[in-house]
Amino acid sequence: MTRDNGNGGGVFGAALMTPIGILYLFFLILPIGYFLSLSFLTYSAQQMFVPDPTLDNYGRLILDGYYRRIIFDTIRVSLIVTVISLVCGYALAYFLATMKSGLRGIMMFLIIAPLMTGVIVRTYGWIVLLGTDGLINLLLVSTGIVDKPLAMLNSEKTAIVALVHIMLPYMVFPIFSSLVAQDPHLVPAASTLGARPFRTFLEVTLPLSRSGIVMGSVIVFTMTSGSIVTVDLLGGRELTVMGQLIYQLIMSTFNWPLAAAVAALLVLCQFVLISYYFRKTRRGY
Amino acid sequence: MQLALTLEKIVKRYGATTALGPIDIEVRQGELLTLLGPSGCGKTTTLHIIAGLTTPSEGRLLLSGRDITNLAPPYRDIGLVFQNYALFPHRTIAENVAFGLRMRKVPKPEIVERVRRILEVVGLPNVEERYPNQLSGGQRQRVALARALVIEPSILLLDEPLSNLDALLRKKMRLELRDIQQRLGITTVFVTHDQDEAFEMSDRVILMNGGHIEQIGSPEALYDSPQTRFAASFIGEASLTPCRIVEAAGEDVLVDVGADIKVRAKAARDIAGPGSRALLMTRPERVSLTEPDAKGAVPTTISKRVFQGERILFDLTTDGGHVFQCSVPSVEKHRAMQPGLKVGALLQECRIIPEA
Repeated sequence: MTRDNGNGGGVFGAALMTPIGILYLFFLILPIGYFLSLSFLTYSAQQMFVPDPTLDNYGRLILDGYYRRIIFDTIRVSLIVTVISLVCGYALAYFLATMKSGLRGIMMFLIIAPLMTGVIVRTYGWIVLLGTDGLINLLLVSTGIVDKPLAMLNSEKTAIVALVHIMLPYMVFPIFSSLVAQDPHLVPAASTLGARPFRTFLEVTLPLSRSGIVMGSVIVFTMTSGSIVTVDLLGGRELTVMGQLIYQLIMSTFNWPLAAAVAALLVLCQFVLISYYFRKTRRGY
Repeated sequence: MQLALTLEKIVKRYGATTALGPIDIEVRQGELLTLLGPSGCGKTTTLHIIAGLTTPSEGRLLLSGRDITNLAPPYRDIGLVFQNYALFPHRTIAENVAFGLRMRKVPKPEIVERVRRILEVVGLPNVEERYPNQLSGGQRQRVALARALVIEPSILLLDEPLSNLDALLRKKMRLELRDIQQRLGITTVFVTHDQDEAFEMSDRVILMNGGHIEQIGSPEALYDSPQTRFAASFIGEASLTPCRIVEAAGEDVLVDVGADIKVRAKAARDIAGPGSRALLMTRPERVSLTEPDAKGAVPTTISKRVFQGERILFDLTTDGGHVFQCSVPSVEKHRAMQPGLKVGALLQECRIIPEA
């Protein structure tokens, strides 16, 4: 099969790219480039930074155990959130895809609805639910299951639960699209050829939803590793991620060069992991 | 005659509406049986019931005498070729064809050998390592056929397998499909809405309409002696003229089509006695032209002329307003005939069909 680009397709394509290109250049690439370039300058308590080129900022991040721990935790928590979202999201997407269309619309709305409120509101929702005098503790204490309220806030697990909840729609929809895009005859075809339902799922449905899995995981991983508010409000002292670190360095410590180095490292980590993932899951057909 | 598959009083209901049946079908060992009918007639539902993809509301399904009504598709030993082929896009051709064998836990070397052999049978060597989207429609069709055949099913089901091919390829594949079916001697149920396919390929045809069977018979029987109005009008070209039965002696009847025109015809079964109303069926190629006053000819006027290349199609209208279509070879004598000309129509091999 050949791709028909038509005559002058390149020029036309370039023309289409121009507006977004200009927007990206002035409002994304230049400011971020400027900020990231700060990471190679020397911190100064008086002037914030002085134009002496250095790699010290990076050196500190890698050598100092405190920062190393934060980098490691960010990646670890993001991976955990991605995997849990993938498992839950796949189940939900599969359920949606096999559903009758009327009910499906309502379900889709329920999944999208949380996106209409902000991340902060959703995070506070968890605080209301899990707090010492929150709904769950109220129930547990009043029914006598526990004597005194459980401390559920300010832990890594709580942050992970909330992050999964926030990220789930971003996982569900790409997978859902890849499921409904499949030829509905493939499953019956496999079954007439002798494959039992679970085998059919493993051999046909799952591999063909690869694009949705990849897209969903990449979005969820990227967004989680860049999250600030949810971890800040729910993770307590147990968990600090790179997003929080950048925020602190910019807003409280005023060490912009180090903040820039953290940001650069975060982008690099995301980029490396995502490109490795893409490479591993590239389709062969 | 040994029966490969029996459908006993199969009914399929969706809610309160009956989509199919009750129907009884017997598929003979080694034959190619075609389910023919317009869309929505229940032919695909019937096929899916045989494959186990649809559960019948009532009735029994016997495969070589064994009741398989409640058996799930993976255990049925039936090969199905889908209209859109339903090849696995993420698998190579060899993997697609091998799928059924792998599910049956056939040893690997044997799989390789059987895949190679079946691809030769369907005329597709050297495509093993390609993916379905790299093949043409005709090639994919062959792969789908190979994938269904390689498991050596007791019955092969074909669901409009040719409808996605272009006209030229479709004609070629018809003969090829029939050839493969006969070479392997595999019992086949074929679903189509295309009567040409049904005629060229089938041993027997089941004509379906509105969820029930209109008529079962060889292609010739269906064409020559349709039993119902639907059968007559769905299969081939036919002019149906209301008439009154004058005399009836067994099969042979004499009917009156009005204006004192009497025609001899053969009747289908269950025809009522003299005096009752019926339909006279004539096939365009069985009407020939003669002088208006010739003996036995119906006096008519040419009301329409359609030049079709090798043939010319005339509409012949009687004084009573009845129209007989007439298809004649495109020779000089017929070419000269224009609308308005009075001619005699000789109606041959006419059939009488019940009016309802």
